[in-house]
Amino acid sequence: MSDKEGIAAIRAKKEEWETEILRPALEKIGPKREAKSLGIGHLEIPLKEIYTPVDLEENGFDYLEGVGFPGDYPFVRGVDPTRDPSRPWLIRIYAGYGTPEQSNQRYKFLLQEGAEEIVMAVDLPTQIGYDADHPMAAGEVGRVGVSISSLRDMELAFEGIPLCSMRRVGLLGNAFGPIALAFFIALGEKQGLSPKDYTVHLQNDVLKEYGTRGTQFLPVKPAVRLVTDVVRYCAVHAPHWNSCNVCAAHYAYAGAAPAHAYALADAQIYIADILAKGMKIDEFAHMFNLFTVGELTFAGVATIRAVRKIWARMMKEKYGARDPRSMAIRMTAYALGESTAQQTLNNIIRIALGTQTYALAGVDYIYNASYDEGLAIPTEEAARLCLRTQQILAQETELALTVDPFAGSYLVETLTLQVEREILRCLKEIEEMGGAIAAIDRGFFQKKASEEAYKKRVRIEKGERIHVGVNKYRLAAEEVPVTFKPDPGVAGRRLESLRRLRRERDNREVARCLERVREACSMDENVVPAVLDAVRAYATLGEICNVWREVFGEYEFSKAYM
Amino acid sequence: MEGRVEHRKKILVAKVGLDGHDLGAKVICQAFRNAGMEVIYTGLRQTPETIVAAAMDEDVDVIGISTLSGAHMHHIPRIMELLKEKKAEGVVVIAGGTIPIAEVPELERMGVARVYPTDSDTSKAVEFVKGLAARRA
Repeated sequence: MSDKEGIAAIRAKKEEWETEILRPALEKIGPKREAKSLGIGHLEIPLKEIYTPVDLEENGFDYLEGVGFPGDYPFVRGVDPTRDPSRPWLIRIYAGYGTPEQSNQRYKFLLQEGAEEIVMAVDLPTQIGYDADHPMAAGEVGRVGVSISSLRDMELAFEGIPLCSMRRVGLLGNAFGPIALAFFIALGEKQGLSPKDYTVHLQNDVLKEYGTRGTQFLPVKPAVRLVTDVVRYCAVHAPHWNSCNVCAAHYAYAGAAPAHAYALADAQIYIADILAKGMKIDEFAHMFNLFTVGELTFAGVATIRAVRKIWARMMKEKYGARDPRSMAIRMTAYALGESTAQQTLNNIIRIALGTQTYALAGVDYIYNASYDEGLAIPTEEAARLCLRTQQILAQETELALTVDPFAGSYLVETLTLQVEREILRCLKEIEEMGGAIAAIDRGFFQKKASEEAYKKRVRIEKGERIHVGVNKYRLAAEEVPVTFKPDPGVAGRRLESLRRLRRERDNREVARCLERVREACSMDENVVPAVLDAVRAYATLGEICNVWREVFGEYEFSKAYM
Repeated sequence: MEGRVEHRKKILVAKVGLDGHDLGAKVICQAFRNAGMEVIYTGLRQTPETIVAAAMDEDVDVIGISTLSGAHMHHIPRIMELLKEKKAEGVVVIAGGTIPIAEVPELERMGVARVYPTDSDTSKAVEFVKGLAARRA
C-alpha cells in the first residue's frame, strides 16, 4: 500500500469511527459539552477529538524537510543531538533583593543548594538607570531586586563567588545593556579573570520594554543602538557570551499573541542594525537566545518546536547564514504558571507543570518562579523549592532521557505546523507595518495587549475560564501566607554607601571617563569601551545613564498608549 | 440641591513610581469605562505630586492607584498628605495591585477607602465607585 492509499484508508476508517462510535458518546454527554480549544497565549486553536495521520497529511507534514534530527537543520527537535542526562538543561534562578551584601548571602545559599546560574534581579531604579540616591528611586530601593549603582556593588554582590564558579551568570540589563556588560567584564577583572573564563548572559532586549515591561528611558532608536553595541562588542571580545536574549515571554504575559512573532520582529530590528554597521550574520547570530514561553504541555512543546524551525529558516533564507550555530536558537524559559495571589501553595503545582513542559520541549536554560513571587520577594524556603522542582524533574524523572519525546505525536506535530503558520502570519503583518519600531510607535502591541488582558479578565470573572482558587474552589477566608519582610534600613544604607563611594573614588577620572562616554555617544562609535572605562573608574550607573539622557533625550511617556 | 441629577463618575487611574506593569491599570480602566464612567489614565512613572495635580485639574471623584512594585507604603501616604494639603479630601482614593493583606488596615487608617489585592474581581471596584454618593451635583 502506498502512503496515499494508507492515508485514504485511515480517513475512511476515521469517518466510520466518528459516525458509529464517537457520535453516540457525544450525544450521551449532551449539549452541555463545550467546544475544546487550546489557548496559546490568547490565540485560540480549536481542538479536535483525536488526531491521526490524516491531520499530518492535511497540514503538510514532512519529516525529513520539516522536522529532521536534533542538532541538525531546521532544529525542530532541539539544537543539540543529545543531552547529558545528569544535567539536561541549565538550572537558573532569578534572585536579588535589598543591598548587595544581603543578595550576596542569598546567592551563596542558592549556589549551595544547586543553582547553576544566578540571574541577578535588580531593583527598578537600577533597571531604569537611576542611582539609589535619585529622588525617583525613593520607595523603590532594593524592593523588587537588589540595588546596584556601581562596580563596587557588583563586587559586594559576588564577594566570595568567583564568576567562573557558576556555569553562567546573568543580568537582564534591558535599558542599560552596555553598563550591565561592563559590570561583568570589570568584575571579572577584579577577580583576576578574563572573559574566556566565565559566561555571561544578558537579556539586553530593550524593544519589548516599550511594548510591555516599561523600564525604557531613552527614545527607541538610541536604545536599540545600545543593545546592538553590546552584541557587536561581545562578538569580538566574548563571543561565547549570550549577549542578547530576545523575549517572547513578556508579550505573552501582556496578552499579545502569538508572542513569538513580536519577539522575532524585535530580533529583526537588532539584526538589521548590526548588519548595517558592517558585521556579517555568522559573526554574531550565534550569541542570540530566545526567551520563549508556552506552559501548557502540548501547545507549549509545539510552540517551542515551531519557533526553533522559524528561526533556523529565517537565518538561512532571510539573512543568508551559513554557520549552523547561527541557525540553532538556544532558548531560555521561565516557568511561572498562571500563578495567583490566592491559595499560593497551588502555584507550586502550576510552576512544576510549566517547568515540565519546558523540559519536554528541550529548552536549554530554565528558571522558575517561586510560589510566593506574586506577593513578595521569595522567602529562602520558597527559593529553594524552585531549585528542588527543577532538580526533581531533571534527575528523578524520565523526561530528559530521550530527545524531543513528543516528536511524531499526531497532536503535537499538527500543532507545531499550525503554530508555525500563525507566527509567520503575524510576523508578516508586523513586517508590512514597517517592523517592530513602527508597531511600537503606533501602540500596536500595547493596544492589543490591553484589549486581550481585559477579555481574559472578563472570562475569568464570568467563570468561562477556570482559575482554581480565584473563580472556583475559593476559600471563605484567605489564609495569609508568611512572606518575605523587606528590611526598612535598606534605603538608608544604600545612600550612605553611595556617599562613601563618591567621596573615595577619583572624581577627576570619573569626570574624564563620563566625557568620553558623551563623545562616543555623539560620534556614533561603539559606546561599550568608554562605558567600560567609566565603570572601572567607579562612575555610577545613574551618572552614565544621565550622559545618555543628555545626548539622546528621554522617552516621552505621554506617547504611551491611552 | 433639588432633583436627581445623573452624575457621571470621573476616575483618575494612576501609576505611581517606577513600576512598569500597567496591565491591571488598563484592565480596570476598561471596566470603569464599560460601566459608563469617565476614565483618565495617567500612564507610567507618575509622582504623588503629578497625580494629585491631575486629579484636581480634572476634578475627579476617585483616584485609583495601581501599584505592583512594593513601593505603595512610600507613595500612598504622600498622596493622602497632598490631598489634605490641597483641601481635596473629598476625592476618594482606592488602590489595587501587589499589596499585602497585612498592610490594608494601615492604608485604611490613612484614608484609603478600599484596597483590591491582585486577582480581585473588577466588579468589586466598579460597584464600590458606582455606590459612592455624588460629590458634585
